[in-house]
Amino acid sequence: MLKLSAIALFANLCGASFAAADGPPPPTNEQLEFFENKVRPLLVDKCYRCHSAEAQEKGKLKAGLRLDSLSGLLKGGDSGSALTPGNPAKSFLIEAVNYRNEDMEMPPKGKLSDAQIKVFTDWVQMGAPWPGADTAAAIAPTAPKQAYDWDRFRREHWSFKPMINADPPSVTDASWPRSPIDHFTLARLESAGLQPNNLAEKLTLIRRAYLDLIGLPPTPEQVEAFLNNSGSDAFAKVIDELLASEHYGERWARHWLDVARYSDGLGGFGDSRALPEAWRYRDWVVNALNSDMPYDEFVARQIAGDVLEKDPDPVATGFFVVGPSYTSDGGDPEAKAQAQAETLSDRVDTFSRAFLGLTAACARCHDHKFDPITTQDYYAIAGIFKNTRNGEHPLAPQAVVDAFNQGQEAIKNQNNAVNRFLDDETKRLKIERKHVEKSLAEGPKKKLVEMRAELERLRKTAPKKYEIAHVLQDAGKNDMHVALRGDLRKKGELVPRRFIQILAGETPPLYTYGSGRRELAQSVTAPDNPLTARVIVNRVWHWHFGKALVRTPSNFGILGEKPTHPHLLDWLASDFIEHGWSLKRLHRQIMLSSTWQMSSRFDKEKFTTDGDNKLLWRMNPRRLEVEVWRDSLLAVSGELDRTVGGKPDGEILRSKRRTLYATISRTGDRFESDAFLRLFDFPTAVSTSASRPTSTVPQQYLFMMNSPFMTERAKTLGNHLHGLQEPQQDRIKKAYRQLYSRSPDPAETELGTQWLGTNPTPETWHQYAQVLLSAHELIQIQ
Amino acid sequence: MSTSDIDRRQFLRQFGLSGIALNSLLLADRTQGAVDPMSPHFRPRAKNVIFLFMCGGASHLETFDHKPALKRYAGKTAMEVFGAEELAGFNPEKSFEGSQILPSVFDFAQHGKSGAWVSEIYPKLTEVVDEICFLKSVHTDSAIHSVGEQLMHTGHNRPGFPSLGSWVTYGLGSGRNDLPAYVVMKDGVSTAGDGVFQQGMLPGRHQAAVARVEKGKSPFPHLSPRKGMSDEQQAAHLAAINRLNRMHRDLHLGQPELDGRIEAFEMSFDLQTTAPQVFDLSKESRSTLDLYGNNQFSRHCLTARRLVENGVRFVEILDGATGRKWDAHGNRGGLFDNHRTNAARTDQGITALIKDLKSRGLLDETLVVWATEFGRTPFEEANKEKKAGRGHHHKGFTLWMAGGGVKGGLSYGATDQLGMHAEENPVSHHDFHATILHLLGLDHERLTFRHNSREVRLTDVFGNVVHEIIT
Repeated sequence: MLKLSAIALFANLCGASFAAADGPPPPTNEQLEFFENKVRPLLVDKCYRCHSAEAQEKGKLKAGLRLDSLSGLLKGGDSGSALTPGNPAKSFLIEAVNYRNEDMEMPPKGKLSDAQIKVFTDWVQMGAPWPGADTAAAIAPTAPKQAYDWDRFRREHWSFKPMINADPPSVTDASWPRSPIDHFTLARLESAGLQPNNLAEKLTLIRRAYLDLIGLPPTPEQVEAFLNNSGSDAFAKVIDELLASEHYGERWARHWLDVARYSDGLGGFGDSRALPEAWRYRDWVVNALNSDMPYDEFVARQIAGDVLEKDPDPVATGFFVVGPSYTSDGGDPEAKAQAQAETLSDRVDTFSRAFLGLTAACARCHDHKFDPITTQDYYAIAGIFKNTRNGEHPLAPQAVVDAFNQGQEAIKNQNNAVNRFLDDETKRLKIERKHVEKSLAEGPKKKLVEMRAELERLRKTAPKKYEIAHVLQDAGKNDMHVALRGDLRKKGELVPRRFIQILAGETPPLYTYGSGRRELAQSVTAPDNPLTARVIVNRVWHWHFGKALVRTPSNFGILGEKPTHPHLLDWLASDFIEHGWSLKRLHRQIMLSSTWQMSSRFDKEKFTTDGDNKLLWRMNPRRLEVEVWRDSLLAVSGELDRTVGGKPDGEILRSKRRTLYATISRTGDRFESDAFLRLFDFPTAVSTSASRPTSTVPQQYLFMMNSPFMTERAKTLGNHLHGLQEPQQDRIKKAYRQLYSRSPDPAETELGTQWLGTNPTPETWHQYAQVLLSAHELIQIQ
Repeated sequence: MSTSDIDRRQFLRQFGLSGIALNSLLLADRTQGAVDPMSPHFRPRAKNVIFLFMCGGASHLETFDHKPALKRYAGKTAMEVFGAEELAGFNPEKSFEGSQILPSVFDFAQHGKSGAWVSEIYPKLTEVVDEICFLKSVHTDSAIHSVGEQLMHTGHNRPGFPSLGSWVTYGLGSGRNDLPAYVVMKDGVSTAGDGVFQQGMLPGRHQAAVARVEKGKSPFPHLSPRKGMSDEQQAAHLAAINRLNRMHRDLHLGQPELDGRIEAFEMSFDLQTTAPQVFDLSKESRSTLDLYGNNQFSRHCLTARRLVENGVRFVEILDGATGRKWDAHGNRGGLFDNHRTNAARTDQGITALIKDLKSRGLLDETLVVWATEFGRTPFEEANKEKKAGRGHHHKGFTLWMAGGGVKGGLSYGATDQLGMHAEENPVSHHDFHATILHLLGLDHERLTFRHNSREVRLTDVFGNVVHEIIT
């Protein structure tokens, strides 16, 4: 299959190059004579032991390549076609006999003479005449290969179609909708004969809003203030306040960091480096969200922040560098090529799924089986990243960098001077180098001491290393060969760097500036690209509702789910672009809708019709992410350290900072915090993650019952409650307000009273606090 | 039936849900980590697996693959005997200038009714060779430790894929509610890291629980109730949480995960009692303790038997994980000392495990697997050291299985006369995995998990079951 498509593509190229001249002229007699006299004897003598019908019969055929027929040469072997008639530079045969590729030096027993090589080169140059074979027919297919029916894909697959500009539909119940969003959702419900749930109670709503937007529960005072505000804009005010909070950026950055497969490095074998400055990219995301950076800019900077014409922002390219960058621990060519191929695969995969919702990495070894993404598309994008390297970006003025470099230079020079001096003395005294110091006379000895003192002084006074960020940098501007079967050592055709064809059209403009990332960023954020805006509004919807409109947020291809509300999705995406790609505006729009404000209440009839809630008849109740849960525990016990930004904290179970600041190893097995986070479904940072599973295992509850982290929170909260002077029932009530933003039911109060007894000790309060902290209500969002 | 089961059933009945709705509820439950075993694809031969992994690459030529012809070739260089293509890809060796063919440093003899060849370093194992099926033609894709370990565990050459043990628990569920289904015991961190036995893209409940086997220490984190808390107090604690959670659940019907969590909470409470009991070796008789012997590997083997006896699906023991102890290069003790020491450490434990399982009638339903990431080259490594060592060799080496539906006393497949290439009936790591799954009643082509719109498989797109070794 692969080999066939490689031939077809090769033929396609040749077809194009010969088409202009109406095919090559038939070989002349002189040319055929040249073949018989010079070329064939060489082939027989030097090549046929391993590359002929006879070799094949004996089972000695190497690399699946036969050189005893023209079709054999054209078809090629494991490394692709051996011959491009008329073009020696593109013929592996010529590359191999010239020993240009150390993995393929032919014949292996010794290089041919220059004259012999010239015979082969001339022969290829003249179009590879072969007696009895019709070269033109062998190489030129009648029609260029059409990999996919592009137009049909663009016409028929929803995500490649242009946006539908549908007006919000009319609905029967005109009183329910508060925003255009509600028209779309209600119209679908009505057509299915369903009614949406009522709006959630104010208590539920405020808690939902806080946990959703800033990832922390509201304080009893904040709840009180909202309840007491009966103005029609009371909830809008809450949302505005929350969007203005710097904790908003912390909460929503974590969503994006799942997509960015963010970690602090330490990815195990082949990728074991730590990335001690990765947090600067994490803080960049937090700040970008807090400042409501337009999403198109947010994307462009992460792809090409260092090479943007306007306001370069290199730190943003950390998006790529915080991912896995494999090296081979073996060092042999196969392992090296594999490591590079895997790294490029990460880049293509993360890029295409995160921004475009396309699984382009599937096209690494073969054209995508389902989506219109060719192997050429893959290598057009991989080629861009092949021209990059992981670098350090100084976060200091040039003068500081220069001063540091000068300091290091001076140390190096002085060090060299000391060594030179000792070398000279060694020579002068004609002794062994290791004995020279003992043998120095007073004068030189004094000089050495002085020189060493100076070295020491330089070391002490040299400016300290300035701060840096891990960034992606350009390191070339070359196109890349298709790697046959994904193996970089087996080169197929050269693919120019460009955008993915299904999005870019028949003749995509080629990228020429540096690695091509600047142009790539432009292609991704172009307003006529139907995917970028759809993908992000769908993700935002997913993070607000727990389920997205397209339930495979990183796959908008054929195997992905179709949108439950295609018109709504397009309306949101167009509106998003129209209003400057503002994420904060999008949050406000969604959260002010009746759809988002619905109750999560169960309803048998609706459930029977639509158990999966695809029609959005209720809010999806769901478990909170581990970060929000842990932060909530610290917040309700009054212990949370709300400092924003800075270095990660590996000891997150002993720390009181937000969970966002945990050190994350890519393997997920290095830190105590890793084990804790994984236990509660934190994603593995090996590849981009669109949504998290919710697993339930007993070990989670062992953590709740017995871990020092829980017992400490319980102790603090218990001591607080124990220390209050009010009657016990009021303290129970306080605890409920603090933890769950509501008053207890009589049964709950009774349980508390029973537990505590008449004269509870601090320990009794601790245990009661731990019961409350371990309860479902604190980890579930309604 | 647990109380939460009754709760759930009542809940479902109370609402008289339609089949479809019910399915979607149960489906939701499954993805959230239901503990009910799934039904196997076909009749299982084995219920449990004990996977013994020798880290570093145990030499087939010093253990089970007897190659007398090596003596005849001794002294010839590798380059005289093998072509350049045959010698490619042996990490870390780049050239074999001067590497000489090296006969086995140990004597071999035939044992048991089957006449299985075993080298002198496994005197005890010879007593159970008739239970063992040797696979002598295994080959993988890499001679790099980390990649080899990854391949043998996950079938894939890069990190992030589920381990064999995770696939098994995913396919078969857990035998019981109060113990983890996949338990790992190890003596350090191996080259590829602990990632080799993690669940990858499978749900979190399929991750391995790494157990510590140490007298008086708790086998899992957070297993012991906090100090000062009596059993009664803890039971009261749990009762209170359950009551609150039920009240919460009753207010928020239609959220099956809340029931799942009540259930898991109860399980965790039970785990506190069960796990210390299962890991407590002091309950074993003197004769059993003597049978296994007294080192950490033996204790791991004995614990493994106790675990499968108690319904744990997949137990893995890593030997020599720290410093990849089986990596018999010249500068790592040389073949002779290295393999003699390693075999001495493990011989008794493995033999005892097989005998013990058999005498308890557990061997039929328990598949014992002995594996390593690769074998060793038939010639000396290129960087000659004072002591003879062999390089890494993935093109033909030996693994074995016992019990669980495999034919004992069989030697399947063969390398060529010099132990270089898997020649007769080659078995790839994918075939090896497919066969293990088959023995457990799982079809490796149907045991898939949808991830990023792709059906991920343990065997990727490869693998053939080796039916010839199955009873």
